[in-house]
Amino acid sequence: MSQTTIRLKVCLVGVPAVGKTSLVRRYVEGTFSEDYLTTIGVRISRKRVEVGGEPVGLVVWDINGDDAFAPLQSTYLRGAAGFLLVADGTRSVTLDRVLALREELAEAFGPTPCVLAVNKDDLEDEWDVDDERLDALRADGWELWRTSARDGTAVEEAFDALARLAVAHARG
Amino acid sequence: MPVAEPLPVPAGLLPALDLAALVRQPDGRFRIAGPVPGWFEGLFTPKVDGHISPDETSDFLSVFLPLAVAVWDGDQTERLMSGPFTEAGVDGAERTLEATAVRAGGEAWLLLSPPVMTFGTAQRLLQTARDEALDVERTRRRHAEREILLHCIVHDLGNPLAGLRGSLHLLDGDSLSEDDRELVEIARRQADRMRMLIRDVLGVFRQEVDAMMPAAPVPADAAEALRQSAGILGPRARLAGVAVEVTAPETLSVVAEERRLERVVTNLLENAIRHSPEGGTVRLGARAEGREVVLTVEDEGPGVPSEARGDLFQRLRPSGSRGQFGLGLYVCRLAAESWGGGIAYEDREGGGARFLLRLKTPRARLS
Repeated sequence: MSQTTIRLKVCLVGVPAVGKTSLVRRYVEGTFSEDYLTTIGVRISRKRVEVGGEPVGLVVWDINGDDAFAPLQSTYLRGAAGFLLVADGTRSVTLDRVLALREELAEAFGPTPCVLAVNKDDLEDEWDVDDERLDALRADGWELWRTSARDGTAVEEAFDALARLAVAHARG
Repeated sequence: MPVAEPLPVPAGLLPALDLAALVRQPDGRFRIAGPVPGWFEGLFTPKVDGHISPDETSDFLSVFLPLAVAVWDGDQTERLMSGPFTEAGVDGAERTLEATAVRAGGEAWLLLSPPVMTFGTAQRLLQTARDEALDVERTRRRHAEREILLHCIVHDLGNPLAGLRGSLHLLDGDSLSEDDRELVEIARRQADRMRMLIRDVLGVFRQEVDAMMPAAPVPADAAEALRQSAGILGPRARLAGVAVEVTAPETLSVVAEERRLERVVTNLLENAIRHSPEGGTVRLGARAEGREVVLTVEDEGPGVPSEARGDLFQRLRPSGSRGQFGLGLYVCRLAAESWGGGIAYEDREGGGARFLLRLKTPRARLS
């Protein structure tokens, strides 16, 4: 008997230029481009994964960076089974912003699984986030990954963690 | 006075507006109203009886349509707009569209079209962009004020240094013993180095202020910048016994500010002369590569040791064996990046250093 595929919506959120679209490209297509083209609205991609041996259809909503130019629209976020919060490790202020965003998401949509990706791990010389801060977040219970869309570091791991949490959340 | 009858809406109006209109049926499916634009073909799975279910094939609309029902089933005349979404249709091709749910003539309409920026959005974008521009302008002014302060401090440092150098020159006479002459020479070299460091610190501040200036509307001539720099430093090169060769076409337009580009090239050339052996040659070159122009400065010196390359263009770079670069290369990087270009180092074949300055070629301006 064939298994029914669960379809889950997950959203990437964070301020502009932290690498959300690049993470999706790396995860879904396995590619990376140095060109920065800002996302307008939302871009939807799909990927079939396995969680605990069961097929899952992950619908990835890559949402425009949240700033004064284009604030996040709740219509894009509604129905998400999980959020991948993305920060840029070379700009610690983006981590502050995305952590604040998590509070706003929890207030608007209730408890929803979140995974934190601190991206651009390959830019070691420009890294701006203390290891102690990341350790403290992990100690607080965050699923946190230092990712690099450029070289692929921990990208699969971050999305796999999100899929795992989203499936558990969807099943209550 | 007779009142004219309203004209009927022509059938071609919707596709002319790049709009696909769908009417919701009682069973929740949709029927296409009138002709549709070309991009609509292949978006959804067509049904045999002419009905389609957009939410079955579009993940975005599967979220949007339940929200739209509130508009269609309500009494309000308001409409619900989705915002732009990018998604592949059943044909696999990605489209960026916007959905609008509206009730009109007793029917529930779903309108799909490529996004159009509303007046409110355009105003918000312009407003924010202009606020940001004002912030940059204020920051630039603060930097400029700091630069003036720094100039005053550096000037105060420079005056006694000039006196010190002058005294050391006077001491360099035959009356001194050989040991004393060597000590005086060491002191003079250190004083010269201090003078260069002061100049570099000033240069960095000036570049950081310049980097915040908007891009120059007029392109610069990279070939002319090479020739000018070679002319300026020609006497110094001759004194050092170093030949300078320039290989460049007559003109080569780049996105850069002419005066600063000349300073960048002069900085690189000065480094190259300083690290060249007597009898060596420094080669300046410029060539077009696709939509870029590459300027090269090559010398026949010892090159940059591998351990010093990682932070060669950084601001807070520890002095290495080629530590005489000071802040000069950081200044060059700032300038290149402010024009959308970059700077890199590589070993020259056969020994020596090669610095590459990559700059963009200007786009044709609309008349």
